[in-house]
Amino acid sequence: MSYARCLIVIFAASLGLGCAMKHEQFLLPGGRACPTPDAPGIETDLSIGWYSPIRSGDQKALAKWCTTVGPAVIDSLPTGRFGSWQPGDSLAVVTWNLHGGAGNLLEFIDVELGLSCDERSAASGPHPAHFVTLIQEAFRRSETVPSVPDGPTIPPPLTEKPRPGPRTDIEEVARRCGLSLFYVPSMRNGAAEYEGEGEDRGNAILSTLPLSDFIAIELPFEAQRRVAVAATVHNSERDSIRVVSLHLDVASSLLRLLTTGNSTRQRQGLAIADALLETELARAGVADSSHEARCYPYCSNEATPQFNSSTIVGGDFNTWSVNETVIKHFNREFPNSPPHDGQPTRGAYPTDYLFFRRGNDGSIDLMLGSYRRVADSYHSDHHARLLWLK
Amino acid sequence: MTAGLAAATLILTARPAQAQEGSDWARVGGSALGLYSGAVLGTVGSLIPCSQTYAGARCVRGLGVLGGIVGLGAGFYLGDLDEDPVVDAYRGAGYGLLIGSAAGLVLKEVVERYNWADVAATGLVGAAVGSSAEGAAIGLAAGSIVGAALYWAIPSFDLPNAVGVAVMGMALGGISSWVVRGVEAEKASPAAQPVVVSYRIAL
Repeated sequence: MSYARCLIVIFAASLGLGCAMKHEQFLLPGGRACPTPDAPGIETDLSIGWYSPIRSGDQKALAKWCTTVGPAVIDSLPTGRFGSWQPGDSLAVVTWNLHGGAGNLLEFIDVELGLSCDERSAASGPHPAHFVTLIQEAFRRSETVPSVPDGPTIPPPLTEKPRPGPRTDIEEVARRCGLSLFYVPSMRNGAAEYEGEGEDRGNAILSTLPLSDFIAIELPFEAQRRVAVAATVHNSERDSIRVVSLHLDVASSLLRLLTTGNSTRQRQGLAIADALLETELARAGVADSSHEARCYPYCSNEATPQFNSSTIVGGDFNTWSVNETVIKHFNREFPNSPPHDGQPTRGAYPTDYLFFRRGNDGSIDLMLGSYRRVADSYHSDHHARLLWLK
Repeated sequence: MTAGLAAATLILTARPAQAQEGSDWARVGGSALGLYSGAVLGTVGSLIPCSQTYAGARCVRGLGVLGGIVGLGAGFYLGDLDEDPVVDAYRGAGYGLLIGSAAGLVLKEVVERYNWADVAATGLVGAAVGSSAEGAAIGLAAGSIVGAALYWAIPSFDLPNAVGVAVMGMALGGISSWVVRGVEAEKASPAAQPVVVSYRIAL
């Protein structure tokens, strides 16, 4: 009967609309350089392992956004004299969304982490405990940010409330504090130029320790280009911990929300987990095409891959609940994470988290009870989260 | 035998005069709109509750398909019994499309990154709700009351959860209305009445 065929077509179409978007990542063999590998004076930075989504639609959108931002920044060695990280010494790990220039990072580092970045006191003051700060919405103002016309790939600048003190970009903070820096811009911070300099914004890692093994993970495109950054720090015994700073999209479009089943943050979070897994498997020498490697974390009957080094992930997950799908997945991926205290970090919402996975050697571990929200927001629209490792 | 022939004659002559009657187009149209409305309502209603599960998007898809199947079955059944409720459902979908599109235009002006595709999507959701407006309205009201009560009673039950319960109520109400219309159409169905009449004559 004709109407029966019609119904089959309609039903098949509705099922097709509900298909899941892929989240898997792959390592770009030639690396990536924004704004473009062909731009004069800017070469592909092969010191960064670039992961990108396998889906071609994501790649096309990300490539367009890439042309609007400047190159990544790597200052792998701190210029300050902080000494080495000895086994048994504590290490503070912070995640904080700066909201561009709104958050006063210099004051934060001074008050919360004990490092005064005033040149005189830095030279004579006591050495602070080592720290790693995982930053989101860091901004960089530079002439390396290309001049581009306003358009759909240029988000408006972040709305920053006026605050006392200078508006210092991430490179300037690293320089003044003598910290190592890994910064990868995700998007422009508006199209405006300031005396020939443009602004971009993205994720960054600042530390008193040398950084190595740089990784940039371009997340599946949902609403804006997002790039998670990862690096590794070592103690003097060469025990290492990978540190990751990420920022997920708030929401996708309504149409995408309906056709993908609200998978925005789930997809981006799983992409990060996938890229980190690829990296860890490569480091451990496990063939990444093996079934055991590929089915993780969904093959609970299989042996869970063991990782040599510990990993800590921090970021702005843009969640409105601690029970969201992406948080459940990260709690499973990072089984040694501290329990969340339920305290909100942006308005009434628990958006910011730190997750931890202990390495096989077990030499670096959480200090129990150290995970907390920082009470002062230092003029950002987010509160930071902090924990201590030992 | 005579009584049987009389009954058959009565049935055959009575059917064209009945106001309630199904047709091929009503079956196809009812099935299509029921499928669409059920799938969209199932998807919309499950967005927030499913975002609190490990399955996430898979949960949304599953409930969307379930809503579609219920709508498909109910729409087919309704169209098989009577054209009029199907016509009413399409009329409601049209109104819903207009109202949803208008709401989308307003949102485009006030919400950042709300584009034309989103306006169209708002209209299409409006059509799904409009096709089962009565049930959706009752469900939304009931869901809002339950959501508000849980919000006040349970500290960890936050505002987005309350909104989720209200939207889920709307979706359940909308999907249920397809089933209810089918049941009502069956009760009022002329197909059974001539049999009753013929039975009395046969006696």
